[in-house]
Amino acid sequence: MAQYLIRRLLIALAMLVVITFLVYALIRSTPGDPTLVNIESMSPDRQPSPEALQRFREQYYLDKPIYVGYAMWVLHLVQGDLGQSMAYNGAPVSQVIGERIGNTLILTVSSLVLAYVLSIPLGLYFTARNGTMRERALSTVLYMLYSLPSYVAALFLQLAFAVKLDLLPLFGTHSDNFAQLSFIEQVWDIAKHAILPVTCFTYGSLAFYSRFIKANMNEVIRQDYIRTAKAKGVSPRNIIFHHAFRNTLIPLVTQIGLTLPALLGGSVILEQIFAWPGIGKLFFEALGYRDYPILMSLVLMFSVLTLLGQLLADVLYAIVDPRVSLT
Amino acid sequence: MTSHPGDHKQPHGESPERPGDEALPRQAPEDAAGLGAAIESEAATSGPEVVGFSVPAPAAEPQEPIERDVPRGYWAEAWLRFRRRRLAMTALLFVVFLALVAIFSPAIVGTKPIVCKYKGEIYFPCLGYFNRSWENAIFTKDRFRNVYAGNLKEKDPESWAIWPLIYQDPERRVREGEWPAQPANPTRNYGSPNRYNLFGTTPAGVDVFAIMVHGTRIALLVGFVSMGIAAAIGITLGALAGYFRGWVDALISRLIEIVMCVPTLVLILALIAVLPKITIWHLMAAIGLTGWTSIARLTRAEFIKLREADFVSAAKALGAGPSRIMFRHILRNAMAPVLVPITFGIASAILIEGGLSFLGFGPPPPTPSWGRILAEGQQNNTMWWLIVFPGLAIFLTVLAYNLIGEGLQEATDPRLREAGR
Repeated sequence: MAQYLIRRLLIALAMLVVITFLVYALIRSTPGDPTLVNIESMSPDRQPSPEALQRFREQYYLDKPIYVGYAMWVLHLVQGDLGQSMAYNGAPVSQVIGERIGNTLILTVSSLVLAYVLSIPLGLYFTARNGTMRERALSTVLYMLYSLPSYVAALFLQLAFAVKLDLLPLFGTHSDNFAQLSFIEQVWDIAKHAILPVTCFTYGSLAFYSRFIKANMNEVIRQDYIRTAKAKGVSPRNIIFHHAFRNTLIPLVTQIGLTLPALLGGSVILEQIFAWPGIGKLFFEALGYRDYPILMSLVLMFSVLTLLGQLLADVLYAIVDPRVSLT
Repeated sequence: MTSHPGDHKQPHGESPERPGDEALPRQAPEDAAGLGAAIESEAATSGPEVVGFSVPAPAAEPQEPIERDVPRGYWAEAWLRFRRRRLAMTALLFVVFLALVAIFSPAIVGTKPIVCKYKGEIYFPCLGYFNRSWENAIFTKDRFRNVYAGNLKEKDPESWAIWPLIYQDPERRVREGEWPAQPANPTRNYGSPNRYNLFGTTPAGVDVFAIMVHGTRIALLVGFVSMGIAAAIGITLGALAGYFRGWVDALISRLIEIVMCVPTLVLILALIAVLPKITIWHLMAAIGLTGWTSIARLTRAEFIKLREADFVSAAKALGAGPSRIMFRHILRNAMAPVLVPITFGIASAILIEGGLSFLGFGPPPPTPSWGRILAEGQQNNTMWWLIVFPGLAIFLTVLAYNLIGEGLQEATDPRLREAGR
């Protein structure tokens, strides 16, 4: 086990180096120069002096070849320094990300919890009523939801609830008078702003998980031990909950590992639509500014989480299912 | 009857369709993973009572004439199963419908005649919607400025033309007096759907229906071309990894994981950003270059399974080289499962293209794109028609491909097939 973990971690580390280098090289070789992008956004009378530009270039190793710049980035990273952002007034990257990550977590965590809480009863319902009209109709609706692109859903929801019905705010995280509200009103205000984005985050995974549970349940329910339970007279409810569902928990739990990157990464397109200042939106903005310290940190975060999630899923699988052995 | 499992040239015509034949599920010779013997016994013995099992039952007397049990070819069998799924069939019909719309888009809606006779020659100006250079240069020389109605008669009274069903243009606003009794397209937010603009107009006054119809071409093209690229990469790499194993496998597997780790959007945006000018073809290449991982993984898994099969050993014994074994023998047997991620991939390619266009990274404006109407709809959110119609189009197309993919999966995966019984 320990040997397996060490080997996996070493491979993951090597892959991280390759990924970050590739991304660094890609960003550096894209046409827009970060210094130029920043100048373009400034007013003409506040153009930085050539010396300042030179300092800027030196600070971010833009005057050096790509591999030197990358090596310097790694060197700083090993010392625990993610560097300074370019476009956000030179604020440290960790600070910029820290300011945004809470917003993303509000959306992703609540949607993950919602998806799990709702999909388990749904999946069990599908299994228990498999083949009935109502089950088929519900499964079909869920399958259609699964195919509904989230940005289309977001626009439809905005159109219905914000523009036509005027029930919910169109975008943003809080109202203009947020500071004057009492604490409870503040929570309510954020909740109201979060309803639409959370819905968009949730419905897809809800459809995915309930189908996932149904598929696993259908597999389990054909096993011999279920037949045995039936034969000895266990009630159908008991069979579903105690005999079958417990055994489908295994793949369900391991799925959590695979949701890690999405949990912290948010969604570029949804956060853009709802003007929700989270990680996804930060990523999109930084891409526009060619702000490579921020981009690199986000890519690093994302790939670490992906690799970790895969490892976690494998290890969890081996822990909960003794038939699986890691070698 | 003996059939080499590596060869799917089953005689389709030999098993005539009969009523009641379809209700009888039978084992297809897809179990190339070493059940070759079962196929032979199947042909001899499969009366109704051995349905679904490939257990050799030598004692069973054939109850029907033997030729009734000639198994269908693998693909015929899969098609039969696919056809029984009503949703998947509806989805397939929808995609065929979309393809027809795409092919005939210039004949459905446009401002360029389908056929016209001008100065004694026959021209097909509508082809200009497919490719600018297919529009005859004479019209540019005679300064039509893309407006054929009126100009044709004015410059050559003898001319005649067959026009598209609806006179609207996906690239520009139709003006007053261009077409008899048709007013100019409304601009800004006044263009709600009306009898001249079925799906309304954009703020610039371009007809949404025209963009949608011509955008179908782009949507389908994106799906097929990008997945074609992805399939070529994915199948080749997956085949190499699964067939040779060892260090080739390790290397390719890591490559797959790396591509999976880098967020798709970074990869696509970076690939696009390197180029000075984005066209729809670059976009398709970028989507294809990032979307091959699931195909490669599945191909690899299939190859690992099949490389131990008897027919591979047989081919090796006959002296076939690795590339012949890989692509002629194994791939043919692995093709059906590999088609499934390709179909899902088409759905996600359409989704990604829509998203990229929505974010403003799509093909530049004259190219009609569903995603770009959506983006305009978000900026002008009182114009519901800019959101509802393209949103539904993207949704239905993605849904259709997903349903087809699922139908294929269940029609070709023997494990799921048995579950369905």
